[in-house]
Amino acid sequence: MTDLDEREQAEAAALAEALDRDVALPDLPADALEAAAFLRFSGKDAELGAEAEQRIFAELAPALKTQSAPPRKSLYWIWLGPMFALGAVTFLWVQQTSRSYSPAAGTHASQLTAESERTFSASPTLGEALSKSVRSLQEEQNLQQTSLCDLAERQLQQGQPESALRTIADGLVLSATPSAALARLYEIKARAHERRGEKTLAGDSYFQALQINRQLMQESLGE
Amino acid sequence: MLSEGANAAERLRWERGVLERIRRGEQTAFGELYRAHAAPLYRQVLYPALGNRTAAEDALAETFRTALQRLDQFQSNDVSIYFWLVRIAKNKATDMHRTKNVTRRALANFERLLEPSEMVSTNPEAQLHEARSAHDARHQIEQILKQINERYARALQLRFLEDRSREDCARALEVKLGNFDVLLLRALRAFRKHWEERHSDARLQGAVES
Repeated sequence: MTDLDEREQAEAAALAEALDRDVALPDLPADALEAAAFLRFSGKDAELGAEAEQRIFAELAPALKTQSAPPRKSLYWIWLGPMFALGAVTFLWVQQTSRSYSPAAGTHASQLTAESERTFSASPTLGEALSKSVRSLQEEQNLQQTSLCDLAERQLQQGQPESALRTIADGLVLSATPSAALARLYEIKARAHERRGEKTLAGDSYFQALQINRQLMQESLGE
Repeated sequence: MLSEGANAAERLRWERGVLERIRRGEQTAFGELYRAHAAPLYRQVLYPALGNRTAAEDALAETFRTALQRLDQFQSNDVSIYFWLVRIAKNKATDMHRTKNVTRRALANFERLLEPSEMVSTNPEAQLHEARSAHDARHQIEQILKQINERYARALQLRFLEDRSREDCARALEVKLGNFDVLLLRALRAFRKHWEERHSDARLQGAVES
């Protein structure tokens, strides 16, 4: 390498930092960064991946809930029960399938049938079994969201708001059902945005956390 | 759900139905609208305006959040909602650039570099289907890489087209990490110079022919 002057070295280091950590240092050369972004555009960065598409939509879910008017309530009640039961039966079946499946085992279909029969006959009532499994799914999601909250909190403490935001996004995808864990995810998200100086985004996230907490409070008061 | 080969009229009819359902409060309808427009907004507007994947994803979320809040203000006038979303998205990107000194985010608007492979139709409905093609750009990039210094081309190839880490690239080129950073900076500048020359020539030729 020839003609290495200090200015060029500082620019090169700032560019490396920008490409690896998205951080803009004072010496960042805009011309080279634009060219780099353009080159990345011709690669995989050009497409919004399915995972990102889903994660972003999950972030929008709470806003969607507050925005939508609950129309034709009576129709919802008519469909909600059967749909819920169907979903729960499917969930139970999938759970049993994944537990019992073993490639080495004999005939898969007969094994499944036997397993399902055992499950249903062992259960006191179908209703109890369904509500138990839905409850356990929610509990599991809450637990996962809580763990991700703890991880994001640690990342924030270590001065890594970008990593914290990614962790929070993973947590938001898990469930949009209002819970203390979901509210906490939004509260940490707000602090991560605040750390990055993104006041509007921080405000939005604080607002989401507040709304969820308010909803939870109303539910616990039986309103 | 909208089929991939739907023409402009079918698309508009589908959109009107979806918007009506959103206004009636159907949450799933908003999901359909999101799935139809999120990826093109990201690829055609936000990523070129911000040059940063995370920032473009954040802006995309903000775009749809704003759209949801202001949906009552949208008037179709027989044009797809996509163009209304584009306006919101561009405002979000501008806001992000305005605050980048505070946020310290590395943002880069490279729309100017995309111009040669940009949309050409004047009809907005036709534009919707003319994605700024990353594949076209890639073909032109490969042409430029053949023209610049071989070592520069290799550095760009490894780092951006193969998406390898700095450390990997430095090892492959048998240089120290700091020297690779400088090599990459020089390579990017050389690439940009060739790219701009090539396309200013093309523009000039186009102007003469017309």
